[in-house]
Amino acid sequence: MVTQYGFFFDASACTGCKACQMACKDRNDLEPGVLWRRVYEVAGGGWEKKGEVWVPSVVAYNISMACNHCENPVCGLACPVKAISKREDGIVFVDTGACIGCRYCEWACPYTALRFDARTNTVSKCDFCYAAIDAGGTPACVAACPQRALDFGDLAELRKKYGDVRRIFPLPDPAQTDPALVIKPHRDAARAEERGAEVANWEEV
Amino acid sequence: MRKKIETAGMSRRSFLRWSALVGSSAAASKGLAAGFRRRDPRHVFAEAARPGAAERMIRTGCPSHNCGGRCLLKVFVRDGRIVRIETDDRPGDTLADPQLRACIRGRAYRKRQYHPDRLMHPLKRTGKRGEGQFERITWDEALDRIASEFARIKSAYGNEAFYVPYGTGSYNQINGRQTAQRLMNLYGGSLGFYNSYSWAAISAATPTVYGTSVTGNQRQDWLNAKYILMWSWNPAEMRDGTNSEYFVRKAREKGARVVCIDPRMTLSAVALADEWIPIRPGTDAAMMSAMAHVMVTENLFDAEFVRTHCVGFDETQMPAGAAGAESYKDYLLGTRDGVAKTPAWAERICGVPRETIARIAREYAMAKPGVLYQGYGMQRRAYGEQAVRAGCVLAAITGNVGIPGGWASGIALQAPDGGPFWLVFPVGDNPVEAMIPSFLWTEAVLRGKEMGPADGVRGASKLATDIKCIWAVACNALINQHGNVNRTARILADEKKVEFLLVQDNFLTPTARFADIVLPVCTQFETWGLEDGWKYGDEVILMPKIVEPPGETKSDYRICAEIAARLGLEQAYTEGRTERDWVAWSLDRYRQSRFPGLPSLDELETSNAGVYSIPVTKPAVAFADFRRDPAKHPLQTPSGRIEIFSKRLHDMNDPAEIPAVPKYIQEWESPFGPEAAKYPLSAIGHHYLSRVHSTLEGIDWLEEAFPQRLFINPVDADPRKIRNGDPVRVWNDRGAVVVKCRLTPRIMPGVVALPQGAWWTPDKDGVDRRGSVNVLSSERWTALAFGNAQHTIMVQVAKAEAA
Amino acid sequence: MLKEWPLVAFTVMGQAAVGMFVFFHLPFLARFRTPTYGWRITWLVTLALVFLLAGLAVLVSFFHLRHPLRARFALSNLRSSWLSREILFELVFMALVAAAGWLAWSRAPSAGSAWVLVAAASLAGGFFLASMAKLYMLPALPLWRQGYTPVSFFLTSFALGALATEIVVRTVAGPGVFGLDLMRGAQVLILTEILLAVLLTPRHGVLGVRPEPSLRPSAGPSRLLHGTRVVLLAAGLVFIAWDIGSGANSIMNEKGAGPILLLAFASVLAGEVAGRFHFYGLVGRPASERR
Repeated sequence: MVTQYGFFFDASACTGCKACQMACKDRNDLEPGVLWRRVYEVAGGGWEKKGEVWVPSVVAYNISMACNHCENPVCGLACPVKAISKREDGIVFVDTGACIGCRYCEWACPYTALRFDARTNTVSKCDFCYAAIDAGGTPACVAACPQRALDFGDLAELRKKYGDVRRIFPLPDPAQTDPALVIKPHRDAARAEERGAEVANWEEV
Repeated sequence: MRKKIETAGMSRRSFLRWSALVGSSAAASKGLAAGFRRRDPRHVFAEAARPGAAERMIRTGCPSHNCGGRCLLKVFVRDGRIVRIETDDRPGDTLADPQLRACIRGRAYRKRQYHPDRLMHPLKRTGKRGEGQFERITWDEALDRIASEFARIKSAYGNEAFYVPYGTGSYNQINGRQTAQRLMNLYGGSLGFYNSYSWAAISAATPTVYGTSVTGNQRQDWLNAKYILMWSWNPAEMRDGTNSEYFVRKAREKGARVVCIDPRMTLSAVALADEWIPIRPGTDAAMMSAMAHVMVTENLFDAEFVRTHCVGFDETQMPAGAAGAESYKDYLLGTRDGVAKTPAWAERICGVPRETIARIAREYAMAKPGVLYQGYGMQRRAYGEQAVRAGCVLAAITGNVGIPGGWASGIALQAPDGGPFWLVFPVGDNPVEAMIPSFLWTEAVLRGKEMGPADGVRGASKLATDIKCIWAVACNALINQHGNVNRTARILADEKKVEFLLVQDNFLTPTARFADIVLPVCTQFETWGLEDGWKYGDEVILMPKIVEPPGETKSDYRICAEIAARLGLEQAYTEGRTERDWVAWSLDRYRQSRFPGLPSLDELETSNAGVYSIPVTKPAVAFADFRRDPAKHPLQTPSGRIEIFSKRLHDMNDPAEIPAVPKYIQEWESPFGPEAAKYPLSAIGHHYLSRVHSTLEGIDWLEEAFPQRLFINPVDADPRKIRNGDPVRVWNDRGAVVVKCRLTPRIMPGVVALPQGAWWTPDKDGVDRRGSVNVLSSERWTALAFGNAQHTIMVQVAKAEAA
Repeated sequence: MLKEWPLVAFTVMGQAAVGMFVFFHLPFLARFRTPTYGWRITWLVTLALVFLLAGLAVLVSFFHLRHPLRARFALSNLRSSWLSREILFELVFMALVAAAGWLAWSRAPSAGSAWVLVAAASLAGGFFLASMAKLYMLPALPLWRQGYTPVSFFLTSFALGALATEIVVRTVAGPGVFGLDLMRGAQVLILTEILLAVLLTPRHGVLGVRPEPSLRPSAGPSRLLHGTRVVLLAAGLVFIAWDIGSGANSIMNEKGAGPILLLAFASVLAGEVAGRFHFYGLVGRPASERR
């Protein structure tokens, strides 16, 4: 019996193709501007002219991120009407029927997982495809990835299988919320900060 | 202290009890208390679990168009409407038989399927051609007009005046240009074409080395490679056969070293490669030559293999009749032209440091075995044939031909039989024998009667007539995808030239805006179809009709059948078959050839399997026989061997542009020519995940994920005072484009990239406002293949005035 | 950023209401003296204005919500949400202000009970302000998670409160009778505000500094707003100095706030509003959301 569902994301395999993002949008009928799963392009470094040629010291990788269904979900702690609750299996759930649309949780979440949805006039976020999970299925994003770079399951099992890295640049300090997330870092992640890397596709996320 | 939210301070068990309490007191509480009771979300979960209105799930192929993938979709239908799309989730997902997972475009397809701009009715042009003014007409009116125009043109100019152009908007047996070609062939024929906008140079150049286009192994063989050199190859973004990028990932996991050579740090470079080497566009042959130079001077090449399987490498093995001609070694060492093709020489040209060139040469030569995969961007250029030949030669002299883990390079159609058919729908024979290169149709419009073999004409010494009637089916390659849009627009606008332009499509594309008659076509979900792989793959995917065609749309086949009826050819055209009948017929073809175990159409339909695949447990290797015994299994080249020196090319007597050995030739528009003073930046139009060429334009979900931008390095943007997101003007002598920019370090300085396929959207001053790269590209074609050189572009970029 | 106008209005008005209440009652709280009968009208007017201001703030905050009717549940998460607590303390504050008003209206209040009520209301107002500051100091938002946030909230409250109290007292009771030099006090408060704003500029992200790696886009708050705020506050200081220098607060003068004081208040209020818009501009929302 799963006590904490989580995601595994292999940043070393992710091409940034966004099939995961689109699978989520299609399953949940999300309008443009509402992104439950986003793919961040992190890029940095520069170029140096050595004689006649330009030599790069460019770093780049992608981070596909939805909601991390944190063990310490600050969104739920912040919500004044308790519209956000945590299921027994760890899935953090927004009840859009209770949300008043104050958008406080949007500020509280360090991962910007909460997004305002004009359809319901409330915030909304990744719900781990709980309907599919409850029927024995798979989250849309995990099933979509052409590189098989996503996995899901009990966080304890994921950690056994993939390790316990849960932060790469520029993700926030996981001690804030204890995200149910395991990451396999891209080799560029270690030197991203020193190369001045930044999210390169802000307008897309 | 951590706070938990799941029970607002209570344990999970007490939460359940509390909720039960709340629930049970629901009836008791009224008024104010009821107003303050929080909704228990668990009943939300229960609601979701309850089955909704009846939903059908049908497995089908992604309509895919010409994207490079052939993937499986699960389409969910409720009340006659597609409500959700998922992808292949067959259990197993092994390397031998992997799932065929759709990309972002297949996942977004509902937005295309139900796009408000879909054509619903036949249209007739009012106003001048190209103005895009139309009025709605009935099908009868449209068919009458078409039949009468066809008859008029046939009698006035003959069948050679008809042209059904290259168009790949649909490939799925029953939708696409092949349905029109079949009718034309029954009607007396039409001017044919050969080659394509995708692969002209690489298709022509590969056989000059290997005598065939079937130079590729089945892809699972990549896991036997120790080294994979991805040269201008970006499968993660353009999809070169579903799962190709996944196979590369697996090969790397198994220990292969992967290197990407590309002007851009592509999606593939980021995820698949150990190293990215930026290279100046159009200079690939220079680096390849320098690599060969290193291999020769450091004795790293496979001398034995060259001696037994190749010709033309050095003076000891020149073919008969070319004894004193320049060998490849002569070229590399510069014995004839005085220029040794050293890494130092190449560095200045291609912008890759000489140490890197030498190192890559050594790595590839010593990998044993290694894959040098040539992508298609580097060959869609002025002298693309040279880069292709040079790459094939590198594969040959390193001995990577005909062995597991190797790769002969070139166009690499899949061994042993050439791979997927793509199309089996029978078009019949074209009574007109004359053919033009697919890219030269504008020449045939302007001066067809003067075109001959010097313009690539085949099957005739001269064309009998200019093109007078164009029937564009699933084709946006007249205006949008052809080089130099402004020029093409002027040509097509002249009604005295092309007298009748008929366009059949789902949307009013830039090409359709030039039509005299526009016919509305249904999507692949609305009619029967069938597909096998795209270039690679060993599967057949059924595409049943899932929902009804809306409005007055019909399938391409149905439209052609009705035109056929007006021309008195209905029985000959349909042979009494419906779309579904043709699918059954096509399945027979597959069963008789590559898929003997293929179930019947009824079985496939009932089982809803969607796909029939043959697992690849022992990947075929091209040229294995030739490798083992070149005398017994010679190549289909004049010498029977790998032609590093091609006598055939030598006899063409055009050494400046068609040398007998692969050479680097400076492009006619390059950073090294006088044009660079005015236009110092190289522009390339790469394939982008927001579209499939020009299909899927205007889909908001896709534009959100991959907005149309000019990608530019800060090294080039900063001196121009251009900041991220600014609208910029990109221009050369052929036209101008204004589009927002994206600053990125992931592209070589001196190069800008404008994703191809955006719809031409000229403002009142003729400036394109959407970012259509073909406003900037040229109509000029390549020397050997008569192919498009659409990435050979020099431009200038500046910040746009208030856009 | 301009979209956050309901929150700007709510916070500024709410803070002004608390500040006004506290400053009006300062002498009373300090000296434990029952307001005299002659002072009662002024007291009632002040309490009414405070209550109205706070009530208006609550009303305006509803414009920030998308489902205002569901807001009746907003006290559900006192256990962990500073937002719930803020709302609670605001409602308690308003209730205590109303109670004080009832006390002032209905009968001569005993000094003891009035003092307790006023002290309680002041505390509630203080907790209201503190909760308001705390709710913005989220771990996810380093630009708000600074001591400057509560300091600037309280300074706003006191600066506006001092000036508003002065206006009411001069208008209803007359100049020169309050006992505390509110104008000097306002000078000190506003000068502190200006100094802190200028000295701490780099920490506000005005200069485009992103303090930590983040998935939140850099908001690029407006330097113009920051500058406008400082200029308007400085103008307020000028008007206050003019008011002091002109002897407007002399017991010899007729009742009335006078144009200079009103100008000072308007200037400072505009400055506070600009500063609050700047505050909200520090934290960006994802670009895709702004579609």
